[in-house]
Amino acid sequence: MTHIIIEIKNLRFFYRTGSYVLDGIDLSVNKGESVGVIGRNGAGKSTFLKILTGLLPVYEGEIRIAEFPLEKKHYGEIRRKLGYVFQDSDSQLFMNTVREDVSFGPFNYGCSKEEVERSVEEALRKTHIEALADRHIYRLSGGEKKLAAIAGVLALQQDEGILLMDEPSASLDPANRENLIRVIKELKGAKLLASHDLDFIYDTCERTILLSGGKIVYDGETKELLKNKEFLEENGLRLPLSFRFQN
Amino acid sequence: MIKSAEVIRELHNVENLAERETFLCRIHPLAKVLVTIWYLILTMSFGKYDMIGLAGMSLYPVIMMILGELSVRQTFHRLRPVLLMVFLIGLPNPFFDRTPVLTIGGFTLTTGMISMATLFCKAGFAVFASYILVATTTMEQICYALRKLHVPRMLVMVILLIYRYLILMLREAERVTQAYLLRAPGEKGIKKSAWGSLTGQMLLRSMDRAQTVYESMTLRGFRGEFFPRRDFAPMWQSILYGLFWGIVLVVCRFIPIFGVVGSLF
Repeated sequence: MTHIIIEIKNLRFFYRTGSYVLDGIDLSVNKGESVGVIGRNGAGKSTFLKILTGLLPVYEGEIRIAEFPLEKKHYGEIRRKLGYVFQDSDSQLFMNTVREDVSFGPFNYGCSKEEVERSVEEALRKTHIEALADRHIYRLSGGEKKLAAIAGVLALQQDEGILLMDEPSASLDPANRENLIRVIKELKGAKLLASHDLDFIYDTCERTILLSGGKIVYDGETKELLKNKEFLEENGLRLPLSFRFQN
Repeated sequence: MIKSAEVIRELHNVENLAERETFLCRIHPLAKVLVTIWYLILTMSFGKYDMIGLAGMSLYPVIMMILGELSVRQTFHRLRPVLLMVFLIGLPNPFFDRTPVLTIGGFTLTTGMISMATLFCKAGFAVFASYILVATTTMEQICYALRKLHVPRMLVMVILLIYRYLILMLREAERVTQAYLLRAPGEKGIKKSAWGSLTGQMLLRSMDRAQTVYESMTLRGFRGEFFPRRDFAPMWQSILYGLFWGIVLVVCRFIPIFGVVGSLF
């Protein structure tokens, strides 16, 4: 039985206006693995994640997610397994209350009321926001919104799925950031986190890929990458704070 | 306080009203939508001088406000811009239609005045009926009812998305206005010369955000179908509600209730 949940071969993608943003990406992600995706601005991190969701459907190469090829006819099954948390939670949450928003996905997949309730409770429990269930979206803080957005994605996933997050720690205060790290670490499915926040990546991902010039220039252990000052600087990044004051 | 923030808050307040556990909120949305459409059709069908007959249609908003536990003061406060517009539309009638109907003392009542009052009542009743519907039924539930009525999926989706985008656009407007005013101290409003670029920016940004909302909905399996997210009252109550109003409104339409009551004294 294979443990690979995302398999990408020779992925190439370009926007009509320019050259290749992604140029020959090969990547395999195992079940339960946490992978950080880093790179300078415009390196294609968000594009890469969006391609995996099917939101950017025209690409070259081969992508298989949870054994389904990434094609329109499999979007239903794939999106049940793979959830995407946008950078801007404000736009992602569009229902009135947290409970309504979290239940949006399961209802669309035709789950019964009992099933919806069960998956909503489960998702709220996993993200530790049970107390916010009936809170209005516009009354949530930035950190709470992020957790509600994650819950909305988790409610759809029947078993251990895949969670893609774009800049998850953006505009979070230290307490909310810590809370988010705890929640992400507790989630058992595979995770792909695109971020500029290298400390956050260090805290949440055991493996990291570095995108530069449309290619993966590093794929390996996070700690090894993040302590390599010269290599990070060559690729437009800086040593994370956790490593600056070591030695 | 920037106006758009107030509008957003009011929209949320109306949504809160629709989510309460009152009898009217728990009635099936299909029954409420059908009764509202029926009421609008019958109200609009009155002749322009049939003020006495039309007065009977005021029973519906009055009873519904009581059933829906809606505050009269708040309702008037929220609807004041629309009511003012309705009033302005009917205002020219007395100047163009001056046929006298009766004279009391020195005051001559003209057909123009009656038609103005009728127009005002018709539009006012329609606004009240629509407000009562949205204050007791969420937009999702209204869309669900419209789909039950086989209104094309695309049209219903457009209604829902416009509603969602309206809030996004208002939020963008609020941000853009705040950003402008913070960099233009001492100015009372936005300069005319900046209106064009600000509106353009606001539209582009709200389109971006609207795209994100749509993507988020799509990724969570949205295919244009709507699901009621609450338990409604037993079906017999909703059917009874529909039948009751269906009959009462027909009676109000064809029997001038206030005329009949007046003739008794």
